[in-house]
Amino acid sequence: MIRRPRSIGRRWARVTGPRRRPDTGRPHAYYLAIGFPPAAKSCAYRMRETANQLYAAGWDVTVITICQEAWEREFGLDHSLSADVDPGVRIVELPLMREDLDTDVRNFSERRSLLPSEWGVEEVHRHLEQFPEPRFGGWRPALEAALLDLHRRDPADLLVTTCAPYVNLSATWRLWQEHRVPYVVDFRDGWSVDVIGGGEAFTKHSISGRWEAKLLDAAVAVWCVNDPIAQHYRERYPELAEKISVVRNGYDEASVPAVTRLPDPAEGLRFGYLGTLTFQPKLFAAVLDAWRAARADDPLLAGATLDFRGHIGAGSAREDNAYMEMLSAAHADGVRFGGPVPKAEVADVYASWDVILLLVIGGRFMTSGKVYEALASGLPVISAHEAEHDASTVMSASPLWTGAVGFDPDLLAASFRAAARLAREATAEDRAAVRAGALRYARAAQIEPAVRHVTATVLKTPVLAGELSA
Amino acid sequence: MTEVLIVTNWIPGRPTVLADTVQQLHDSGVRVTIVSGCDPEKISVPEGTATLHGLPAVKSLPRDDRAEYKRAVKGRKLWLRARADRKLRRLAGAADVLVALDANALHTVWQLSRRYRASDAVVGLAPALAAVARRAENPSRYARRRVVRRGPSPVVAVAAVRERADRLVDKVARRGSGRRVLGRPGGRRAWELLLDAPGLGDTRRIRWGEQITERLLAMGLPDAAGAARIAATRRLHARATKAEWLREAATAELEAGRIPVFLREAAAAELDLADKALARDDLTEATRSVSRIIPLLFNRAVHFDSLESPSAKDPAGFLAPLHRSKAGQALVAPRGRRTPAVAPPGDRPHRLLFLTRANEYFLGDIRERYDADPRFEVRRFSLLDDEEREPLSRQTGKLVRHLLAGNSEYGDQVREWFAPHIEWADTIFVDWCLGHAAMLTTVDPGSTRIIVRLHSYEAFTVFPHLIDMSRVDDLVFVSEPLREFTLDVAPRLREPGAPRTPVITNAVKLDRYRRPKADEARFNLGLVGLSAIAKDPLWAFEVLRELRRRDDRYKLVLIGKEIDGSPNATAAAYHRRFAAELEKLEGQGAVRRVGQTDDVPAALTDVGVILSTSVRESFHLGLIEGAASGAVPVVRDWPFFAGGKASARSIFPSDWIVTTPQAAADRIMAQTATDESWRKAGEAAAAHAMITWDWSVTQAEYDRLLLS
Repeated sequence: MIRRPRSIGRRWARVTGPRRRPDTGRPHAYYLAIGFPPAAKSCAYRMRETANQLYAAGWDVTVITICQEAWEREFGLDHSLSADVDPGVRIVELPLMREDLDTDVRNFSERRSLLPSEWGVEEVHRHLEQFPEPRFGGWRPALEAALLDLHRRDPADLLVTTCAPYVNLSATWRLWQEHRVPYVVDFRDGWSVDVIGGGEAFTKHSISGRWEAKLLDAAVAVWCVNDPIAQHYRERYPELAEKISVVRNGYDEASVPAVTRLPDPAEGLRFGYLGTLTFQPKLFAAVLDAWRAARADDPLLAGATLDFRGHIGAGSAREDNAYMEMLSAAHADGVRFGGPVPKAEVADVYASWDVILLLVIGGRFMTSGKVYEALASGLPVISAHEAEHDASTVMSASPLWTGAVGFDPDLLAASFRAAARLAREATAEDRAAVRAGALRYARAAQIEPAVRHVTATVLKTPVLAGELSA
Repeated sequence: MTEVLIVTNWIPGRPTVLADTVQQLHDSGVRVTIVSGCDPEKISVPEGTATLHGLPAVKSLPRDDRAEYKRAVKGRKLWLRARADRKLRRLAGAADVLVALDANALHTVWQLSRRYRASDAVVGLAPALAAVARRAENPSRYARRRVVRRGPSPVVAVAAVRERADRLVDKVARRGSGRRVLGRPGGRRAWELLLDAPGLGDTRRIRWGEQITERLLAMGLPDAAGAARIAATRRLHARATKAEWLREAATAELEAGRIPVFLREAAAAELDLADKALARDDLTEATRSVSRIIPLLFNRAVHFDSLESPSAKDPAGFLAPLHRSKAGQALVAPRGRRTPAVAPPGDRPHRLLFLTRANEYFLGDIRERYDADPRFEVRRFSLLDDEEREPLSRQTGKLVRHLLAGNSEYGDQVREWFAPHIEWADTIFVDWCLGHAAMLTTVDPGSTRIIVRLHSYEAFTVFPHLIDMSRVDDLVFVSEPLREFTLDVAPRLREPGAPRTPVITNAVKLDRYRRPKADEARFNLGLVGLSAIAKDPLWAFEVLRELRRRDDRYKLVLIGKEIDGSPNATAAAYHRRFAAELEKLEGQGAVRRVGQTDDVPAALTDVGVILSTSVRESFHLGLIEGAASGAVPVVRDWPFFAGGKASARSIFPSDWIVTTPQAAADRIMAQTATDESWRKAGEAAAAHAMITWDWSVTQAEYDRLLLS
């Protein structure tokens, strides 16, 4: 007898898709993905593809994320991201929000209004007391209860958990402990690795370390976004090396312009950056200084503009921070800020530029998702990041890349000049060759094999297979 | 027209963003007013886009508000000025969106939002723009809201009444804390009850607590001030505030030369913070809090430079907060060892390593013996010999962090330093139970046997609480009282898995002290070693005065370096009294100072009666040397241990022990009544010393320890 799915009930903030799954007999996977579309976050692309791939692999998929109001407090919503989510994927939103990003003063306690910094510290402590993660740890009870309740109503055959936030791991563990639901951890940037500073973020003896070790030990598979992070985990847990695989972020083909723009000699070159500005202001200042210097003395850059698109700050600091001051001050140098870009318009934005500026923090453990789009666009790319950086690994094959020179303003200025020359001189064939080379980084090509492998591994389990066919 | 009221405490930090936003609002037909705590002329916005308004000066506030302003936090300060401003009230009443531009403006906007409930109240410019946009999308909804949400929230009236009542109560409290009230025990007790009363609130509890303790200290009642402080903190909710308040007060008391009565409470508050920090994996904060208890619980002024010690009075109770805390337990968590210690192989000499850091005074004879013994191969490992790595032995904070974390770069460096020595040795003998012993136990000793010797003052330091005793095989004590005391302060030493705790007295060759004494020595009392306050030479002066009242032939000879009054105010106070009395007695010819000497046996030929006047000792070598010289021993029943399971009585024959200066004088008069009785008593003492403590006897105990 085929088990008939039950309704997941009504206690959720919002459910997209049926409360009761269709009676198809497909296995059921929960996908714990906080940041799923329509959240206007860079992780949403990977999450969307993962859900779609799971569905395509034969799973009924229930995504668990948090309510849309929570994203309005952060970087906002991008409903165009939801358009490409397979209609068969069910999305359950939990009523969880970050208090620290609330900007409505009426919701504040008197203490928070009087001593906001102290309140902020106490808020962090409150979270850490539940789970070792400063802004999300306090969600642990709600996440655990929600996942157990959902499983009780509509049991899972697989749980795919993607971090951050890492508090997801607590609910994952709880479901494993109580119901032995096999799970995959999509660690993306990893946890115990410090992708910004390099090295270990915490020891194995720490609370976080103990959580990570036990979670990874029982996982079916562990995914990371690049080789250095995967290597970190293989060295840290040699006994788990076989489970750890690299699933790069890749790019969405719809986000890349169909045709690469060729510069118009009559108008100035258009340089552009797309992404969230999260660098140290002094690094950002170095980039603007370099731009100013290059534009002042290189005729190829006469009349050139540099567009910044994306998110700058969240909560009360949204577009009200040091970056905005610097951008305003650079207006006379052709620097403009155009705000965030809906996913559906990303290709058009790239299509309007001659050169892409790739600004990325971190070092060899960091890749960033934008690097794949930049490569696949077929446009010349300037890198403003450390030389030893995983973005360099991705970009190194491109003849339209100016190389990574760190944050020295003189070297960056030379990069701007070199990029201007590339933009003027690169042929359509050069650009087509770069685009062709980037095809292997298409997002679907990255995620599909990993999902296929997990599906085969989990569904081969005799007990589970028996349950599914029973 | 939509009205936006932006409140800022000071000159906006991002003037361009503000100017752009104000321009944008103005262009969309919004009327903008910026209210500032600073001079509004200093705010730059495009001409004609906004009205600027400055808040009234502090001096124009009502008297009570002016008084509160001085101690208020910045957010409250701005509100005290804002609420006195009629124009602001009008502006806020008309505003559709109230905006806090900075953190210190938040409270003012929060207060205004409770009074003008139809408006939106946000923090930040982007949320302000969003609020304006929402209003533009649905103006009728907000028009309805203005009708429905008239007047302030009822909580505003409640808060106003509460504020008036609070101020009234404060006034009454100020008047009730005068000298007449606090000068009476009943008045002080009443204040303690009040400070401990439920529902008082943290802010007022601290304010009143501060007020009362300051007055009591000014009245010369430090213990009463301490009791009031304890009462005030008992119900404090804010852990960090409580810890900080107690710590700062304790530090101030110690600097003033007083021993605070609330040291235990102060340490408990810090440990509470440390536990909370540990629970959230915040090792930096946990280490900071643990480090802060060291000058509270293990302060030298409290235990070494005072004649009393709260730890000696109640060893288990004084350190109970440490033992109970998660942090304290983490510091001593047994990490065990790969293998138990094993006997050295029979085909080569026993490799014996002496690990020291500084003081090697008590090791000489022991090392000499085993250096000369072909069954042993002896090496020394003094941390001071390695200049480059020696600083590691002074980094207690890093040691604490390592113990809390379980591993660290510091631990790796220590392991790298110690590992070759551990690898070589069959037995490591660590002299003094201090930081170097704790460092050693951060490393798994493998099959090497670890012996640590505790002399005396270490038991009052933090180090026994940083040592992993699961990696110590024998913790050797030099006397029974120190053993019992240490087992009380570190109760885990009585638990299963603890090291053996043998008592073996110091190695000392006593025969060199046996020299003839002149007849006149009969009336000379001697005190050997008086540099520490614990030696309490003032007690010797009392004995001397008592004797001289009966017979002015008695004199006192002081041998050794004198008291150092420099370490802290407590030591300085004792030193002042000592110096004054010494001057008086020297003037009478009753005291003679020998000072520091390399030839103590010679100095003792002039001493007929040897005194131990200390409040605590482990073994008191100076007394034993005196006894061995043939002087009549007189031992004060060391008050730190008197009446306990082990005391001076556990070491010396009972007739040597006295409890008061009068009893000491009685014993001296009796024993020195005649030359014959004096010499006979001295001979008996010397014989007892030789057969009990001489190295010829005790070396067998060391052989048993090392060869067992």
